[in-house]
Amino acid sequence: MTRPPLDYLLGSDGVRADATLPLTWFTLAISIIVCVIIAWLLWVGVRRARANGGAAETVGTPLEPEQGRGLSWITIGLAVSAVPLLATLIWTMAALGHVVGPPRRSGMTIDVTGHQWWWEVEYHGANPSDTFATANEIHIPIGTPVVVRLHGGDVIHSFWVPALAGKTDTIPGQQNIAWLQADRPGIYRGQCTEFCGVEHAKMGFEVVAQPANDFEHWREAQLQTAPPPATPQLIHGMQFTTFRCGLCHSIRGTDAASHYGPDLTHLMSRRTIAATTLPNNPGALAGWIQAPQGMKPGTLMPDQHLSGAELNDVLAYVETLK
Amino acid sequence: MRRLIPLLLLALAACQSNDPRAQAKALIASRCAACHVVPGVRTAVGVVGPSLADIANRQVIAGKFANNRDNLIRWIMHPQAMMPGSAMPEMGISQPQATQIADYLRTLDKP
Ligand code: HEC
Ligand code: HEC
Ligand SMILES: [Cu+2]
Repeated sequence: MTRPPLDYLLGSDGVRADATLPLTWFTLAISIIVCVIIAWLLWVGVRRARANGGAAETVGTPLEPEQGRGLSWITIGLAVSAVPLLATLIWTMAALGHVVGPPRRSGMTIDVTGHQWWWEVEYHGANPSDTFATANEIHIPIGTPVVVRLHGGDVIHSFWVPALAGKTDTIPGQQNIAWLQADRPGIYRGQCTEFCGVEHAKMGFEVVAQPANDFEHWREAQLQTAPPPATPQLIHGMQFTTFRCGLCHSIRGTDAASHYGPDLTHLMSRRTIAATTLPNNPGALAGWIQAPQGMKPGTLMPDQHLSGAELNDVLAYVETLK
Repeated sequence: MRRLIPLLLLALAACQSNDPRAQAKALIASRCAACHVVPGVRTAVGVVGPSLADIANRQVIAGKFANNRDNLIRWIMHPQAMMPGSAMPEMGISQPQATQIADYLRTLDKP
């Protein structure tokens, strides 16, 4: 589902964005109105000055208080601008009250870490064995406040899902808190919004909001380890993948256990690869594995220089990571 | 307004779906872009396989098969059957999709 650009200005889909969107429009409208009024007054002033002989008038003598109503316009102007300013202030305070701090009864807490140039996501449950990691695709149940603990993996990034909530920075050595609550099911695009290096623009993610049941199914599926390889090609593919790619990736249930790159245990359950750079289909996936630098120059995954046969075996194996 | 935009997009998509060239380009952008340079598809800047810039002029594809429409379609559908171990993988492309893509590629005659 692709959405038109800036569509998050037309409607919000989450509790926090519900509070900030009308305020955004209000401030935008006020700003435009003020600009138009000021420009108009300026224009009238210029016209008047010209009609009275142009530059000569600007030499004019300073106004004395008893000389007329001229000065009172300053007071009137101040009083008039105080009204929208005050309205904005009060509205901003009210909106802030809605969006700050996670609600006291949050349904769920997840950890999100910004890395150059992808997002690590960690879920927890009642038991330590309920913990699992995924990347670039955050699933949440609808109607539930989800607390997002934000961590900085390397440099400062910023976590933003415009249709659901405002931005919060992810800062190395510090934990920031954001929270999300989606009103209806949908796939909402998120983006890093703090410049963080060459591939900052290709550091997107998706929030998949789904009914509680679907979310629970997803969560249970994510907890599974990778299936054992069933054919000679898959066995070779797995050996090669754990040996080579395991330097940076984990695939739970195999020897691949590094957390330098995204967890690949359920790679095929994701809609996109490389932080929404490519759609997840066999062609794009194979191209990415062989030459990530071609599609995302500077990404921290190096080109792999596999032979055709190796690439096909790796592809066949990772396609079993459903 | 919110309702209108998806409608407009749908209308746009409907216009496009009648245009086989637009469909072929969309397929190429999604399936082939990560490996090939393909003129007319902005995101197709892949460096895994050869550039397909003047593929219409080439005599031989993949260094082995005569470059004609049938072979091209077959290659796009089943590169592994034609040349096992090639770095170009099976991508689950259907015959109508492959035909669309091949017809687009066969118009690329400028290096
Ligand atoms: C030197 C470390 C390193 C090695 C080796 C490596 N990768 Fe990666 N990989 C990364 C990093 C870092 C990313 C995140 C890149 C980004 O999105 O910018 C990544 C991303 C990926 C992704 C996208 C995952 C997602 O969900 O978006 C896939 C798939 C992948 N790698 C597969 C492989 C395979 C298969 C191999 C072995 C042939 C491999 N990688 C070897 C570091 C590595
Ligand atoms: C994983 C990378 C990869 C993907 C994805 C890929 N190809 Fe290829 N393609 C290659 C490689 C590598 C070759 C060279 C094969 C050879 O010569 O044996 C090639 C060769 C070709 C050739 C022959 C070119 C020539 O000059 O000989 C055509 C045509 C072609 N690909 C079309 C496509 C189309 C259409 C798609 C998308 C549906 C696609 N490829 C997807 C890697 C890829
Ligand atoms: Cu960034």
